[in-house]
Amino acid sequence: MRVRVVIAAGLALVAGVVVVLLLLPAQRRAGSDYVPEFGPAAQLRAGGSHCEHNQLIPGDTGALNLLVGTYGRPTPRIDVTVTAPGQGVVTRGSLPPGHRQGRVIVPVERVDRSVGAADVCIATGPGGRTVLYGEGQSIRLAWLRPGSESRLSFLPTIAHRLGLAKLNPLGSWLILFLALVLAVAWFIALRTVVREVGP
Amino acid sequence: MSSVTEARPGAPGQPRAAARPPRWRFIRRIPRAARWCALVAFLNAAVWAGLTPIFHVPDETSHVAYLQYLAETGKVPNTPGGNGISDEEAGVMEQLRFNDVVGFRDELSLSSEAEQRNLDLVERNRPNPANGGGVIETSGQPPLYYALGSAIYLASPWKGLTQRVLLIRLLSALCAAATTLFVFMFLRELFAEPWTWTVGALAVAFQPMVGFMAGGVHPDNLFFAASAALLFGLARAFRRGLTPALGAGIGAALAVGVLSKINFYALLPGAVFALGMLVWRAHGRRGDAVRGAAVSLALLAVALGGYAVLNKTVWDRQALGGGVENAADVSVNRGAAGVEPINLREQLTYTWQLYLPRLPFMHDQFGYFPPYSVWFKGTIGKLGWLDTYWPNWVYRLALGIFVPLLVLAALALWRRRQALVRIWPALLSYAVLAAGVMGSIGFFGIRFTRDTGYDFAQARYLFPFLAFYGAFVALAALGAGRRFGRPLGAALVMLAMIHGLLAQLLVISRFYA
Repeated sequence: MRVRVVIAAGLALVAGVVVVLLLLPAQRRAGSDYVPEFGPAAQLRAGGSHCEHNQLIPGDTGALNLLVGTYGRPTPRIDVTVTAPGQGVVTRGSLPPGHRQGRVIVPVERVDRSVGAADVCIATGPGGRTVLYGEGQSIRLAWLRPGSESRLSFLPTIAHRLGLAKLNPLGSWLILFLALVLAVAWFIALRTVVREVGP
Repeated sequence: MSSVTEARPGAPGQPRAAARPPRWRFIRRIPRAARWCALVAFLNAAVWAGLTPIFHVPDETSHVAYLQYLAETGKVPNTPGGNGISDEEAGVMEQLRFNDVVGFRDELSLSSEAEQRNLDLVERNRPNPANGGGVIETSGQPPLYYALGSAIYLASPWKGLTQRVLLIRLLSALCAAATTLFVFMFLRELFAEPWTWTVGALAVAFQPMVGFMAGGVHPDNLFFAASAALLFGLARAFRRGLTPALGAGIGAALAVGVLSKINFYALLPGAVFALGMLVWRAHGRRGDAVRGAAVSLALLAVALGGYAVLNKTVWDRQALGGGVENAADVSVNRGAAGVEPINLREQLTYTWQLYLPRLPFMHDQFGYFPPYSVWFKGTIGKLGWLDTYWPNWVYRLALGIFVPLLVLAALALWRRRQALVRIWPALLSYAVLAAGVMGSIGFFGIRFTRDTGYDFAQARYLFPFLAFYGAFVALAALGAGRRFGRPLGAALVMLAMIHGLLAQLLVISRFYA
């Protein structure tokens, strides 16, 4: 068995794995309020509501990921309303009743651009008590991007995020630059293997 | 493992003979393949530096704090009750939401332009960068890595902390390149088959935890390079005899090591033992060997002495920076009032269980199996501040790959058992070196765990022996025999590359997706 054959098979495997990974559905996190889910933070009675103030709603938001507890009963209807000073209602959405307690996704109207200083209110419909989780009095608000998308279609967002908070004159192109550097490293490594280990 | 006959210049793995200016000669003496492997390690680590969010390499916050204080003031951080980090670093950490992201796998790194603008504002206003200096966990460390990083910090045309950190990370990438180079040279002294040198060195170059660490501001990287250099120097001396020149190389590795990270002290007993063995075994050329050992120890003494003088006269702290003294405090449980002293039996059983299965008469010190949970899983990949890892099936799959490789490596050793007997002084020296490091991890681990309740050991604590990792990979390939050895070697390099790539994708997924 020749070394080149092994390398070719390895590269084919890499290509296959990368293609599969890119085409699979991705996590779709848009951002959060950075509150950890350490325990119960708010308890709503039927028709009650809880608001979090001065929130940053990340751009490309299309849903809210909430951890809810209902003492084993089906979840009540959950309404989410986001308002911001001078903008009125930024987005809203609701989840029909009847889900199992635990993690629920409340779809909201898409928010294209980040909105600061927003008030996020969560209200429950008829039913039993509902517990929202977070830390202290603050509940965790984990925002998701709308719909379903593969990692490939999510790549521009990842590229944008990866370009933030570092020395980076390339902006979103940084990820491509890093991929190029890695490709050069791979090329040198494989060339060295062919030369030193065998053809 | 058998002796290597000198290959002719220009042969695979050998330098080409060519007329070059004298100053380049020492570089030309390094095999071409070794230089390529080192370049690969640098590029791979540079990619890690670019994709890992600032401060998300273990302890990077406190290493940056030390480095920044040294760069800004020329002093090491040693102010009791002072600020652990500067206002600038605190401001940057706050804007990065570092404390909200580290340890919380659901949290993204910065994800919006609004957050970036807030960070830019802090970096433009530049709160006081020089008011750190308080005693923090890194304060007792020696300053060499930080001093090198300070030069980059000061020379950087960009003044923002996040920008400077990325540049300093490239210093760590250079250390990874040096480590890989010395691993190659170590393997060259160990194996007669030149192709194994490339296989082992590239396996180290692409090892994801090595690359990840080399993508952060962390003195471990210089420590790993010095350790690899020490092992190379010793391997060469055991094979060719200790000379004053080689002694100077070993001494340089010792000097850089003790000035880079306090953990290197654990290698000193083994290094001294090895030098003793080299002198003892140098039957015909004992004079050369004695002079070589003397040069090594003199360089070590100069480094330690100079460091002690600086500590006492310039930085006004204990002779070895508080490192050994702190270790001594820990050993007698000073400062841990009310804590039961640790007896020898506990110490030994803890250290045993760190690396080996618990014996029936031993009290369970961990509640899990450290050889798998700490060393194996940690080597396969626990990234970030140990908050970025794969699902368990990935580690089980890796174990399924590792076990056959272990068998192949054992087979290769068995086939070379006669050579192993011949080089027993070298093997014994490596064992003493390893025992020093492994023992020190056990020594500090049980005290740390008792004082804080947290686990201590991380896989990187054994990375001073990356040369052995490279040797293991080379042996596994050799174990496949003459026909399949080379293809398996190439496959193992491919495997290392894929492993590294998947780890990079894991980090991207954790922090950006």
